[in-house]
Order: sequence, then structure tokens, then C-alpha cells
Amino acid sequence: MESFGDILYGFSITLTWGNLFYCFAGVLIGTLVGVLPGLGPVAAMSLLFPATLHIPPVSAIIMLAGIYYGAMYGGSTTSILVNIPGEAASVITCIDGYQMARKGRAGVALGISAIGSFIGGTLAVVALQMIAPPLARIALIFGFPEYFSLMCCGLVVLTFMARGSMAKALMMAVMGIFLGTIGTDLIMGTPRFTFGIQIFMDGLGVVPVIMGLFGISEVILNIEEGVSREVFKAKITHLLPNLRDWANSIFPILRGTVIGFFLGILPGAGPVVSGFTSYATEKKLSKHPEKFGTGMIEAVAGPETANNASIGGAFIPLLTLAIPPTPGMALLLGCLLSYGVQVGPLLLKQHSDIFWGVVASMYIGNAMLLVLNLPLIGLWVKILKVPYALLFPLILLFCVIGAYSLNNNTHEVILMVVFGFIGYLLKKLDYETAPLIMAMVLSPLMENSLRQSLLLSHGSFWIFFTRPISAVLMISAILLLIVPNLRWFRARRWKGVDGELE
Amino acid sequence: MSRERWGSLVWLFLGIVICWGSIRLKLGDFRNPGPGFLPFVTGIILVGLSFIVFFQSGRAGEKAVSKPFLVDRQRAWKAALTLVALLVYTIGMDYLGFLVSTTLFLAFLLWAVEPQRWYIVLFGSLLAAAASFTLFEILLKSPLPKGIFEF
Repeated sequence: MESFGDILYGFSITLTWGNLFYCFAGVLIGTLVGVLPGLGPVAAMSLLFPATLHIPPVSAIIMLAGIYYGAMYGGSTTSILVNIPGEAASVITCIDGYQMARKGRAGVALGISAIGSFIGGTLAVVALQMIAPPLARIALIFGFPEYFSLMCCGLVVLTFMARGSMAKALMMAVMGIFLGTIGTDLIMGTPRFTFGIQIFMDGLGVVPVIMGLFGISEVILNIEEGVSREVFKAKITHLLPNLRDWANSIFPILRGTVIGFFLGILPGAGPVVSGFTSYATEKKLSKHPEKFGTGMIEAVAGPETANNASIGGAFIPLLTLAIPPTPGMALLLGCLLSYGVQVGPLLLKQHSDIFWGVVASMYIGNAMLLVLNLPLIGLWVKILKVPYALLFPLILLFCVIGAYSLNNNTHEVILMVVFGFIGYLLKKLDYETAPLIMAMVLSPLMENSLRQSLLLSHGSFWIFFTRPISAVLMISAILLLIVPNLRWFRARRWKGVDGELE
Repeated sequence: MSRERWGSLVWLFLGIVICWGSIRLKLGDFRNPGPGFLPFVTGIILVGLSFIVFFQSGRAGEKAVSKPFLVDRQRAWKAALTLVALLVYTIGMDYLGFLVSTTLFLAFLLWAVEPQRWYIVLFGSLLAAAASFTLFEILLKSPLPKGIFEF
């Protein structure tokens, strides 16, 4: 009953004209950036963050969260109609979604992905609403050592989930921790690695760094590698699936919800891994795995549901433990901190309006997205036809305005451009930027927890192994660092990956 | 030497610089870590990981067939041009003001990077600059640089 009262309180916050507008604006912009390849939700969120500084934190988070989950809906449209993922989470939908479109079933593919996204997104919010409060109560017993171990474990899990070299992903995480230490040391007041530059005194801004790494670098990469897209020309009809489609999709949708939600909680897994895992699961369970890749509706319904459900899951560690599992959540954490909101187990008590307001807005946002995505599909297709040559100057312009508006100075813009170039080089050399961002956001909390823990233990690192919760987290992190490097595990891992690719 | 190995050498250099900078900041001790403590630890780990990447890339180097660093030299030139234009635009914005510098920047991109017809270059850049100025400066009250022209 307590939970029912809380969610009613959440709806009382969301169902105001102002917050409904911000929710609608968020999901609309989210769908738009999801549809457009070359501009991801994280870049869009960081771009709009300065505009939210003048509105109440709850409204700002409702809008930014709307962009994040809205992009998951929009991404599938591009995957199905153009065979290019609108954003990373929809990569897997290209395989069977585009094949369905080629067979004249584009409408059904778009319909089932919107309906699956709605079901997955909504059920994940129900689970978030039920799991987050008890988890926050448990997290209240966490001290500095537990927090430090949790953050270490989170970062190691993130690098473990990274595609490609784990050493490179770890390097990115370490670099992120270092970048997070730039600025004035909070305890001694000593400037660190600031080189006398005024804007570095308060630390590197997370938003310009994210805009550079995710926005500018993507545009530069697209210009260099070229973006060619050919929109599917046939008229899109019959958006609603028939009974047979429903029979084939309902269990993939339910499985996708469970997979997406639980993988969403894990650092680094996020919507991309959720989609891939759902696809692999459906292929394994299917009576006709050989038909996957030829336009199977299960292969669209499952992954599209999973990537939406993962967003609900990702909010759990963010809102209860202040651990962001994805770059988008890292940005939300950065935003909440800059609004002066203390994120963590006490969020539910001290800022219950934000927690329950965001939860309620996600119910409403998912319903809005269903309405936006089905009847307005023609509009999204038209937007898809705008050539990239006209689009990229506008993306760059909005990035510049976004970075400038943070503190009304061009230094932040220069910082963004520099990180744009760094991000371009990192992408070219196959370094993932997600661990860098998350580590950078967590770095100040991590350093404070480490220093306080060492003060408590009089300089002994055993404090991380003598307290049960901390010990479990630290040992898990160490195992995750060691196990992937064992010869037999590497052989099994690569064998598994090769099998999936086949 | 492969680009992976060059990359690892850059990280190695960066790790050493971080360690050196951290020592200058004072490391403190385990009982009372100083401001340089955590950066020093990150520097040390970075040095260690750069060695791992260096040797890993050597082991995999012969087997791996990596795609070329630049797909197309002409397009790479356009990307470089965009980046330089962005930097010049950012620096010039304080002097020329938002409207003038944005119009010039957009016109340059539409003319030099992805060439368009003259009327798209002219009217497109003017319209986009004016629309963004109206949206951010006038409607959202988010101050944009004025420069010598005061707009």
C-alpha cells in the first residue's frame, strides 16, 4: 500500500502541465535523435542540459530521462527502414527488421518494436518501483569502504562487459578516474593538474567532455567515413501485428523484459548488450534458428523490448547507490549533482519528488511514445530523408551552443572540441569511451571514499576485505580481473562469440 | 610498428607524466593520503596497462587484419577541415559575435565540406543562425556572445 501511495504522489508531480510538457518534449526529442543516425541520446541529453538549468530539478530529470528512453524507440525505425542503427542499442534490429521490411512487412516490424518497447519499458518501471526502495534501505548501511568497493566492482564489471580488449577498457576507466581528479583537491585545497587555467580549478566539466566524446567525435567520424543511407521506399501499412505475429512475439517480449531489466542493472551491459542477449536467447530457443536473419518477428520483438526494459533497470543503481551503469545514466548523475541533489540511498527520503516523479513520468512517457511512434511513423520517415550533409552543421551548432550555455564562456566549447578530437582518435583505435565517462563521474566519490576508508583503518587496505559486503564486492572485482585472462576462459569466450556470429 | 603499439607508447608516456605530476603534488602516506595519491595510482596502473597492450598487440599483430586508419584521404581532409573550422569558429565567436560567426561557420561547412547549391549555402546558413539566435537568446534567455557588432 505504501508503494501505491508513493506512486500516486509521483503522478501528482508528473501530471502538471509543466511536467507533462517536459516529458513530452523529452520523448519527442528522444525519438528524433533515435531516428537520426549520427546523434545519440547521450549527446542530445548533454546538449539540452544547459537549457534545463533554469527549471526545477524534477522537471529537468523527467525531460532528460525521456530523451534517453525515447531514443530507444526511435532507433528501431532507422534500423528497420534503412538498415542503419539510429543509435547503438538498435544494431541487432537491423538484421531481421530490415529483412521484414524487404518482405513488405515494415509496418508490422515497426508496430511490434513499438508495442514491445512499450510493454518492456512499462514492466521495467513496475519492477523499478518495487525493487528500488528496499535496495535503498539496504544501501543505507553502506559505509565508505563499501562504497569504494562497490565503485571498483562497478568499473571492473563495466570493463569486463566491454567489447574488445579488456586492458584497453581498463585503461579508459583509469584515465577517467584521473580526469576526475583534475581541479582543486577538496580536502587540502591544492590545485591538481590545472596548469593555471581557471576553468580547470572546479574540475573538468562532465558535459563538455561527454559532448565532445559522444557528439563531436561521432560527427567527425561520420564525415570521414561517409554516411550513406537509402530509406526503404515501399508504403508502410498494417502497423498492427496479426494473431500469428502476436503468438510468435509475446514470449520473446516477456523474456526480453526480464533480460533487459536485469542486464540494465549491471554496469556496462545497458541497452546494447541487452538487445544482443535477447537475440541470442531467442535464436537458441527457436524451433527454426536457421531462419534468423531472414525476417523473423521474434528477432525484432525480443531485442527491442530488452533495450527499453534495460533503461528501467539502469535507474536502480543510479537512484539507490549513485552508481551509473551507462554513460546516459552518468550524465543524469552529473546533472543531479549540479542541481545540488545528493544522489544515493537518501535520495528517496530527501528528494522523494524526484524519484517518484521520474518513475511516474516513465509510465506516461512510454504511453506517449507508443502514440508518437505508431501514427506518426510517416513523419519520422520524412525526417530520415534529410541528407546528412545538411544535418551535421546543425548538430555541431547545437553542440557549440550547448557547451557555451553551461557557463557562458568559450573555454568550455574549446574543451568540447578537444575532447571531440580525442574521442575520434579513441574510436579509431578501438578504445571504448563509456568506461572513461563513468569513471570520470565516479572519481570524486571514489577518491573521497578511499581517503576516508584509509583514515578509518589507519592506512590499512584490509578494511576493504574485513567488512563482509565490501569483501564480497572486492573479491568479485578481483575475480573479474583475473578470470578473463585465464587461458581456458579466453578459449571458451571466443568460441562462444564465434558461434553467435555464425 | 603497428598503430596499437604506438598508441600504447602514448599511454606509457602519459602514465609517466601523471606519476611525475602526482609526486610533485605530494603523495602523503596510507594513513593520510595526499592530493597526489590517487592520480599517482592511476599513473602507475596506466603504465602497467600500456605494457600489457604493447605486448598483446605484438602477439595479435600478425593475425589481425585491421582496417586502414583513414578510409578515404579526401574525406579525412574534410573531417580535418571541419574540426579546424569548429575551433576557429569557437575562438572567433567572442570577437565577431554569435550571429556573424555562426553564419560564416555554417556557410563554410555547406560550401567547403559538403558542397551545396549557392542559395542553400547563403539562405541555409543565415536562416539557421537567425533561428538558433531567436530560440536561445530571445526565447530561452540563454546569453550568446555579442562580439564587436553587439549581436
